[in-house]
Amino acid sequence: MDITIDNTIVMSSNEWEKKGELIPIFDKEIFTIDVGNHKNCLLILHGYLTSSYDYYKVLPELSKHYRVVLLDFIGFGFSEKLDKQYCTIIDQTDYVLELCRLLELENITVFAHDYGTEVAQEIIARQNYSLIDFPIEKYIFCNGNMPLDHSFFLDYHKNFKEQVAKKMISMLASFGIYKKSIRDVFFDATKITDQELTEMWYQLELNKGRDVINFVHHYIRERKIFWQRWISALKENNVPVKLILGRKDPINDDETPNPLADKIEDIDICWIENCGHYPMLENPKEWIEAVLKT
Amino acid sequence: MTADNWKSRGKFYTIADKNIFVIDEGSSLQTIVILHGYPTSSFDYSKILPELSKHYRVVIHDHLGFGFSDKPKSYTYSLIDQADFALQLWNKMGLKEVTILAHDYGTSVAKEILARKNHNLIPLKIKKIVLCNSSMRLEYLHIRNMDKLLKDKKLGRYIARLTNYGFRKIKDKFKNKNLNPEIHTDYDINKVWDKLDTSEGKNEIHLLSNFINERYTFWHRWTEALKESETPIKIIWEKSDPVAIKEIAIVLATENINDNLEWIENERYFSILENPTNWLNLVFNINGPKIS
Repeated sequence: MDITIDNTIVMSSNEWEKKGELIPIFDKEIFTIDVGNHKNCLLILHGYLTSSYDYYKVLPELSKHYRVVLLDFIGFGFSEKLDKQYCTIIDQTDYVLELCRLLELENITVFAHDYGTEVAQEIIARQNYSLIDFPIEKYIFCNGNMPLDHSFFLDYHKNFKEQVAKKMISMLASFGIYKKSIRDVFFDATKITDQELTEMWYQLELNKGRDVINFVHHYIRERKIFWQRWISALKENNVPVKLILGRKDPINDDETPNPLADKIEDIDICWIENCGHYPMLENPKEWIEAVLKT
Repeated sequence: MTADNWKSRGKFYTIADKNIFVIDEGSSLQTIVILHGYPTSSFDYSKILPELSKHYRVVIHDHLGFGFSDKPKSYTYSLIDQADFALQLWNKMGLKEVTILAHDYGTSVAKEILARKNHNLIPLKIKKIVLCNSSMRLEYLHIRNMDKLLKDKKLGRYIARLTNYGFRKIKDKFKNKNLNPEIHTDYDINKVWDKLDTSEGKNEIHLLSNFINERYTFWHRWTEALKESETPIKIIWEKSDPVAIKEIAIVLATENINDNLEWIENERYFSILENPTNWLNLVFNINGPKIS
């Protein structure tokens, strides 16, 4: 396979915005990029505090093989941001499903990274209960969020919990801290440039995007509420699930067994060596190979 | 009516490998589905069922973890799960159009169903939603000390195990409301508690109590659902309910332009247990013979 990635040019936020459009869904507007003339569709769900922009390096190549649909979740990137309000995973899921319906997506592969894996798990839960009838054929999970296990909610983890919360909140404090936090989860920090980080920060700040009051607090509570629902969803799931993991992810390293891998039988794991939390930015070529192999 | 009689009137449906207890009576083409409150069960409606089923097909199920439905061990029951189970059940029963009657805990389930309906996610037609004494608006909710203790994740399980507590709680609730002690004898209260006691129900109370957290998390989602609803909503409120105080009803009513707020002025005359005849008249405009 001949995969070409142009690592020399950094996409500006402006150019990225021009690739997509704002699609009205219920009462909000969702920034969506929909490219590639294929029947097989790859729906991409991005991570916390970044946006669909994470995929700018891989989009040209991916769209040769798939109809690629990228969206910014409510509160992120170019999508509508909420004033002092937490958009729940359940709400995000409703918006994603409505978008799939509007765009009439077919033969869907759901690719989820970080925060997006929670939305993917909620989609699986509804699919297991036959409450949605979308043609989702496969799920690919990539470097998930901090592994929250049931034990995480016990009190002796309080310090750890506070550390995680502090880290997640402090990312919003200033560009300097944001930059450092993102760099910290790369294996090779030189693989992300200042210019890219500037564009990511610009999108985060857009429309008062930093006013996500208490995001972490609500988010951890929601994960606690649905811990059992989402674990059961993965266990009972009949649709194939594949994992693509950067091996040197400090959030989810290969020394602590991946919580997802534990929950699914016969899971197919594809490791990307010398790679941190953002394989699509750090090792785009290997990442594309892994996605196309599935 | 004893709990055993009630059990023999219904049947079990298997939804996602769990047994759900369902009462399904009446042959009308118009269907009412009932989402019961916390921490009781479908049994609350035993007195009104004979009359209501003359006018409607009445479908009442016990939520997962309540009444005669399965109580899976250590499952953290979420209101979202309860909505999923209700939707799957109604779908399996082939219901196409329903009126939803919900009470207390059930009103949160009803609001989640409404949110999905607004978001084009369910094909089920909803004719009307009737909400009774919902404690949805937490800023007005006076959580009593016992509820606080139950919510506590460490203490909750031990407190729930103090068998007498539940019995006393239900008894006090009746006493506080000055309901006629001749009707609500200790025997009746014992029956309610015995049902909660089955399948290790007691050990699960603290897990069921998790719903308070969910009401915080989904405050916006469910408020929006009411605001955006095209389905008519009727709100029936007991003015002197100590938990779901009347301010909640007023806020709920102003959030929905389709609302139709009605007060239960004097609970002794309009309680579903104490005076089912008047209750049916108020909620469904049914003027039936006197039920005792």
